[in-house]
Amino acid sequence: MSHFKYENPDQLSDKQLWLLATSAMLSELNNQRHDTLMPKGDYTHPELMENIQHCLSRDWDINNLEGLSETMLYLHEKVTFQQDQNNWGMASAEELKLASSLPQLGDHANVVDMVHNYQFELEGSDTAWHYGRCAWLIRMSAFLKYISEEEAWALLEENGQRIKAVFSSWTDFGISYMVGAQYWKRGTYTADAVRRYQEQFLFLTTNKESPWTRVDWNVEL
Amino acid sequence: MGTLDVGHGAERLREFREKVMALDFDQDIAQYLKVLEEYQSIEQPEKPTAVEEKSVEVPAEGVYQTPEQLVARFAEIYSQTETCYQFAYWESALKSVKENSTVEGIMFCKPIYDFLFDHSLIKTEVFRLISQSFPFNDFHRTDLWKEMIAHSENYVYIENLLARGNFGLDLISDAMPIEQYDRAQLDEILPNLLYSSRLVRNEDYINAFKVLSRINKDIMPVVGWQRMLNILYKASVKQGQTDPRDIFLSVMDDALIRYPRDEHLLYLRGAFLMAFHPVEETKAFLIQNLKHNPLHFKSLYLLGKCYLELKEFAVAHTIFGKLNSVNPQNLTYSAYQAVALHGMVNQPVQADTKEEELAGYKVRMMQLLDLKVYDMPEFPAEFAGDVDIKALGVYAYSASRQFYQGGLEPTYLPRDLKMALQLAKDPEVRLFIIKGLLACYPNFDDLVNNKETVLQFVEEFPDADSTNFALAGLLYAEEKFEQALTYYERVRDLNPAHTFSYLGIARCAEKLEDYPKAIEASGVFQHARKYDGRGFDIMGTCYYNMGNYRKAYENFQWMVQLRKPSGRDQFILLASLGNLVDELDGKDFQSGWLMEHVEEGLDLFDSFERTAEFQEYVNAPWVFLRGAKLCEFLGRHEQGLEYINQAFELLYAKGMNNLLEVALVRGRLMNALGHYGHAKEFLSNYISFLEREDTDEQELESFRTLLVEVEKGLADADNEYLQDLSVLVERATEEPETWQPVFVQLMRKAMMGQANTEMVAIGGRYFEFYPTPVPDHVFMGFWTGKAHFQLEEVEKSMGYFQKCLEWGESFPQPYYNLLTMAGNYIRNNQS
Repeated sequence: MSHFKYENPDQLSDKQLWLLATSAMLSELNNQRHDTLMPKGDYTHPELMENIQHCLSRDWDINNLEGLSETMLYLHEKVTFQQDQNNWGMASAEELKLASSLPQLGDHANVVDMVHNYQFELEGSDTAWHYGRCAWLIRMSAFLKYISEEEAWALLEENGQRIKAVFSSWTDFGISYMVGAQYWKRGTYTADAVRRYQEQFLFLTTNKESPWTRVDWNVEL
Repeated sequence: MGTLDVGHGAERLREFREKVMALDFDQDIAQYLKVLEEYQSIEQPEKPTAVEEKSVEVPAEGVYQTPEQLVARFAEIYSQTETCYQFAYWESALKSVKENSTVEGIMFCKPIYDFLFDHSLIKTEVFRLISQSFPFNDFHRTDLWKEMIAHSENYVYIENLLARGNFGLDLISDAMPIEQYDRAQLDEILPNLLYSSRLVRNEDYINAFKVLSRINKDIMPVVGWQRMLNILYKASVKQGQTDPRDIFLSVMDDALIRYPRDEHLLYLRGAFLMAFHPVEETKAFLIQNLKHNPLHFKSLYLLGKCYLELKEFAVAHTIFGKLNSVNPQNLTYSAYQAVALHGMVNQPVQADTKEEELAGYKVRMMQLLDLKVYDMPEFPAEFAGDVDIKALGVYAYSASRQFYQGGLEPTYLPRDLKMALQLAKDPEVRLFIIKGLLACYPNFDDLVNNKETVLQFVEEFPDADSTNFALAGLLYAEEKFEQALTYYERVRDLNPAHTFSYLGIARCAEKLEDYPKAIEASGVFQHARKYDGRGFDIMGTCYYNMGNYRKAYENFQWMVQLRKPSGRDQFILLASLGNLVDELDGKDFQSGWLMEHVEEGLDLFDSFERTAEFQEYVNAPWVFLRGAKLCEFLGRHEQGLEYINQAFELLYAKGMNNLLEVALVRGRLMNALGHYGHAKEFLSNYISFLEREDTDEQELESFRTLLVEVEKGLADADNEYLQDLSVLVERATEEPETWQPVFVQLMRKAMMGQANTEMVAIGGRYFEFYPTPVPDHVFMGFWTGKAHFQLEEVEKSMGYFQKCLEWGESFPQPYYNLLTMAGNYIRNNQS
């Protein structure tokens, strides 16, 4: 898979680049640019549009602004791993270790293992998984012209404010995103299941073409 | 530091602690981790598993006939922790009542309720046993019950315990050494722990803490201390409350007096320090802790964070790398490793002399390339002409092209690395480039194709693990297993942390039939790479060849979940399970372990894709035969027949007709399912064929005996079916609500009689009358679909199978078996 250079061809502001960076995990997965609102910059091949349209319709039921609004509301209100952290978070380490090996809990045993792993180390629970995907969906909706560019920036900012309120660094945001992915795949609780998220995180954290190394977290929104 | 001697666990731990105590962590963190790796390769700390019930010999039980006698016995059992938490005692007492009492069961209910009113700290399995032993459902309809619940709500609480058990208590009692406490102590500890759990769930942390504080400190189990300190930590560090912060350390001191080596307590201590004290102080505390408790990975994690804060990125990177290898499921480890890496690549190279500075840049370049970071540091112009810097520059440029452009030519990187090697002079740099080049030969075939190059590298660097490892691989590819083993062992000796050397040792040893050696080496590999199927493959194969089918199966069962299973993987999985069943010869038929694993094995097998590779696998038919026999063992006759039919298809496709065992199993399954007509036809034809082939009489006799059984079944079923069919259809038409279950019975009868046309009619009428799905819709839908399929109405059949799957989402039980088969039909008949 090839990667794009980070060039900011559209002369976006720091704030705009920050907002785009909140979609970075999913953009990286889809081999998209991090420095333009549109996923591939000026490239708008019909096949690309069809693929993205199909993805938004099939996976998110987004075919227009209304669909995007409903999805945003859903993602902003969704509580996933946090509920389990509330239920198990104050349990002793011994109880968590034991519960995570009980076959009668099924997939839930994996979730308990996650609670044990991240007991006091996870800022914002897994909310970045919801917010990060939300940012990406806004970008793709703009690309498909379900919303205008102006609307996209406004929605990205609304989403971005939520992110800023919870997280204090790209690292914390990225960890929360990965944990959200791990929770989503809790039925296949193996190292392989989350490897690609770790690889994306590694790239975004270390590479000079990554928005997370180019855009300061503390940009004012 | 020398390597550790293999020895007894406690002795090794003492040696290990002594070595660690002498280390300077700032300078020797790599050494600490190496020692830890060596220690772990022998002592493999297991993830705690569910507590296994200890087998207990219950003394001869008394005779209990009346409720009073039973309750008295319950009180005796309850009063002693040695008996209260042993299921066998309760079971024995109830068994005595069942065998000796003539009192009506319902008469026991109130006395038991009254007993449980004040004695409810027992495990779920006991509640379940009591609940199943007496007619509590009937009791709950009596006036006496209504009076009881009017008198006290606690009876409702006990009713819930009888119905649902007490998971919270189960967990606590298994997480603490309960046998070390007496009844009085448990009566103080357990209710407070349980009550505090309820308060925590309601987020009433203050009162949860207060409740825990009621427990006498001298008897408080470690789970209690951990819970208290969790609450204080969250309140003080995460929520910034000052009162909890003020008491955290005094509570922690009390806890550590009693549990000075508890990992979680020490972790919280370290984390609290980290939040409120200078990082150097925290680091010193953590290092001291690790010297006394080297396996406290939680403290190692905090130490890694300290090093990050101190910008000692290389040390932090090493620590988080180690943690990630131990527990790849904890994503914070790989995340902080990445953060440390980022710090490393952005730090300037510092040195006192020009020579040291040049060496520093070379080291930095190699570090970055090792970590797949291709942006090289900017170095002074005077170093630009250095041949080693140039060589590493070539390496970086070529690797980065591959990274950014997806690699235009597969051989691009090896060619460029050979060019770089022609430039480089520094042995360290040369060896580094050679390692990179050898990494371009990942398969045995690659090594064979580049044999000369590999041998040159070995000659230049005879003591490098990378060159020896490549040579070992080359020898293995040439089937020179003894020589290959020697070199793999040499790699292990040169670098005990070289995980793949153990895989190589295991492979060679397995080929040489030295199974104990192979098992030991694959065990080390498994421990280091829990999610790599190859270690389990080799270990399983060794156990299989040794005839230890239980251990073989345990390994293969894990292997097939880690990788997409090939035909051979599927075969060996079922073969080991099948051999285990044969070996036990029905002895452990009722064994929970065996039944559960056979079911699990079949479910796994069902989940596998039947790829083209599988279809062409030479033993594919025998995989299905194994599957069919296991189904027969479990009584899953429909599924077994599906498998055996697939075996037949594959065998016919290979031109094989004499299929003795396969045919016999098919006949047995058809008979068990009541497909008497088809079974008779099949067996008669097959017997004729065998007679023509001059088959051994003993083989023929098995088929003839089975045919007799089938003919008897046929005679019985035909008469019964024809008599009942018309009557049932008539009644169902007049009163549909009453006769819904009868449709199911009717379908079952028609199915056994192979009456496909009638099955279609019954199914059609059923779905007309009953549009609202219930669990039986799965059964009716499947058999209607199957009948259509038999009548070659494939499109209609697929419609019913699809509906089955939809209903199955709401009603996965009890017809999970039919849902699996419906899915198979759809998959196998997709156009």
